[in-house]
Amino acid sequence: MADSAGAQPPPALELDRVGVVNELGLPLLMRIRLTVQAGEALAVVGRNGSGKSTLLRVVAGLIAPRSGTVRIAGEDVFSLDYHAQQRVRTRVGMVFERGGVWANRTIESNISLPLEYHHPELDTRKTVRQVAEELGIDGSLNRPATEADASVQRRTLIARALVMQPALLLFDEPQHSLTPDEARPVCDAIERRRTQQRLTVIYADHDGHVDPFRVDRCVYLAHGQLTNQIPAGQRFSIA
Amino acid sequence: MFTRIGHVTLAALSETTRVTSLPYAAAKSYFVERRKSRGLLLKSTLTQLYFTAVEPLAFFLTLGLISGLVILVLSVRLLEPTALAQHVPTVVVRAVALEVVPLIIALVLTGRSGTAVATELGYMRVNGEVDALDAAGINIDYFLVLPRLVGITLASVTLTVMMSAAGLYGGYGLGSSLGLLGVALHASDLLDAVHPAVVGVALMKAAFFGITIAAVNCHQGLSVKRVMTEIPRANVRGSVRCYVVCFLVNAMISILVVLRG
Repeated sequence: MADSAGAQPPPALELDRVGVVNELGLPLLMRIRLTVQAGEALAVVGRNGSGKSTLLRVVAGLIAPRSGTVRIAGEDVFSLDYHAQQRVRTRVGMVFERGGVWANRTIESNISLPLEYHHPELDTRKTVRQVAEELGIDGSLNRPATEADASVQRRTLIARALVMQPALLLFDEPQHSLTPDEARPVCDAIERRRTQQRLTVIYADHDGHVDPFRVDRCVYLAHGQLTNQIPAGQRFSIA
Repeated sequence: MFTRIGHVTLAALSETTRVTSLPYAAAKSYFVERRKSRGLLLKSTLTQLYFTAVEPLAFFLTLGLISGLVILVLSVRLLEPTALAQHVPTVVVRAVALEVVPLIIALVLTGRSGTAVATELGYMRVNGEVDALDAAGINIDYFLVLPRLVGITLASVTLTVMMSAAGLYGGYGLGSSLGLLGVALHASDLLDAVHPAVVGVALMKAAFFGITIAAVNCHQGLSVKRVMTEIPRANVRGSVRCYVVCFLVNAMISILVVLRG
């Protein structure tokens, strides 16, 4: 959709020749070029160790690329000043594959903390409860996070990301720790936001079977490089 | 051989730079994050203060009482028969408030709160909790380092005041009631020997030790990568470095104070 000036809005995410190396100097990602439009759902598929999680971590700002640029909504995030970078990063939600639950807090506090931190003036309880109800974890809000099972912890991470109303959601291994019944409300919550808020979603998965999560496009990552772009719906097996 | 020495020296310098810049980064984060929640910061700081100073207060006061009593009895028994008897209050105040108390607090805080901080942050690192904070746009220096830095430093300073008081006056009271101090030494003599300069140096030492313990252990905890077995190593490294720094700085300050009269 064109804006008032007639110009196209920038893509939700644009990676241009992004390269990442590890501490030993070995390449993890090589010259990644990727554009994701606002509202799009993309699956990054590849074997374990192919660089999917690294790619998501670069977009989330947790790893600085050695080369190339990362643009989120048109802004080159790694060249911005601290406050601008924080502003952009609060619009990006990240759901980790493992870990990330703050152990010494309750489920409610795990969800509300980013909101309390960035918007201390807001009453977070209502927003947190709404998102928790959507994901089916409202009954666990007062439990210590360490006492919750893996599925509740996983949905807590998703709720924490959604409660900040991100423009871009990064979701590592979407089916991890979730049964199909538990994944369904998560999928519905994401789809609702895609429709209503043009939420952009990037899933990272090892076998491309991200059901019930819906994707518009898949890209395949092997040895840190993007290869053929594979249309959604096409199953591929990675031996 | 020389290459190895060079590498070790560079690594030590690099780590020293990172540790010494941590308190600055944490202090700076207070102003950088001015629009963020002060309530979360205050809560974390008070929690740290509680675990570091309030919870073990009885233990510290007991240590202060015992060490004060021992120093008082030794000083009175050894110096009173000599021409140096008039210096007993000065010796006792300096030994308790300037030497023994800040060092005992530094040693105990290193073993108790320092290791707890390194373990907690190391665990948070391994468990992905630090990355989760970072990904949520939460400043690590502001949210994790600053409360521990302020909490441990405040604890070190307040414990120094309370433990010194317990050592000097509690020790005097206990020693007098047990008849170990003779009759020549009065509580007012001890009070007169507490000069502002002594208090200032004692508090400066306590603050320095608090900052060192917090910064070194925060750095060690946050340096843990992704393996659980790194946590005990970070713990040991943090403790050893704190002991070395605290002993060295304590000795340097004490010698400087003596040399300057």
